Amino acid sequence: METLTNIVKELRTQKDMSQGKLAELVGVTRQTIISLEKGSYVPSLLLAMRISEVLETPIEIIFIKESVE
Amino acid sequence: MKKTIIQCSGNVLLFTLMGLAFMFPFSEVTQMEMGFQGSVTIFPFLLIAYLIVYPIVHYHWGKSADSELAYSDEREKIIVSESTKIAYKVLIGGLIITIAAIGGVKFFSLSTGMDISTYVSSIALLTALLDIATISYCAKWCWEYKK
Repeated sequence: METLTNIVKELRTQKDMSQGKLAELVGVTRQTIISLEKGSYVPSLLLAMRISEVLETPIEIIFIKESVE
Repeated sequence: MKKTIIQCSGNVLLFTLMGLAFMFPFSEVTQMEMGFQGSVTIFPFLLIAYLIVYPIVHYHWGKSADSELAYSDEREKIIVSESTKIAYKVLIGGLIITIAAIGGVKFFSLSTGMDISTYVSSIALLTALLDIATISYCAKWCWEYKK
């Protein structure tokens, strides 16, 4: 099975940005950012692109496809 | 999450009051030559009061006409869809069981000669089903939201 991990939390803290601020900038709720950082929610391509824009990092760096056994 | 819990609780209370109002609208009913005579129980009045108060409270508290099916972003949209799927399954499965149960009540009533009201049994079962479906929706919504 394949899953998607991400480094949103690391990039966000590097930019000294709160979960609420990121949520506001990408147009979702704070709970969605919490869930996304925990890896329990896989975002849509559109949301992933918005996060990529806000965090100024290419999408393929932020989201990594991994195989889980 | 609080909003969904409050809205679902409001719906459960509404369905319960509806059930009670339809099950026990009158007390001491006497059959007359033309029609019947009886006194109205408290349940229809409670239902009417609730139907007046609930929209006002809902509007002032929620500041919008949002229902429990409303969503704020793409993740909540998925949560609503998953919860609706569960509530739908509960409703359809429950309706099939309810039809069988009403048939069973009628058969039991006929075969034992006991005076069991099919009307009251049906309303009770449907009320319970609506309440269970709403609670299932709310439980699934909260479970998914907390993930």
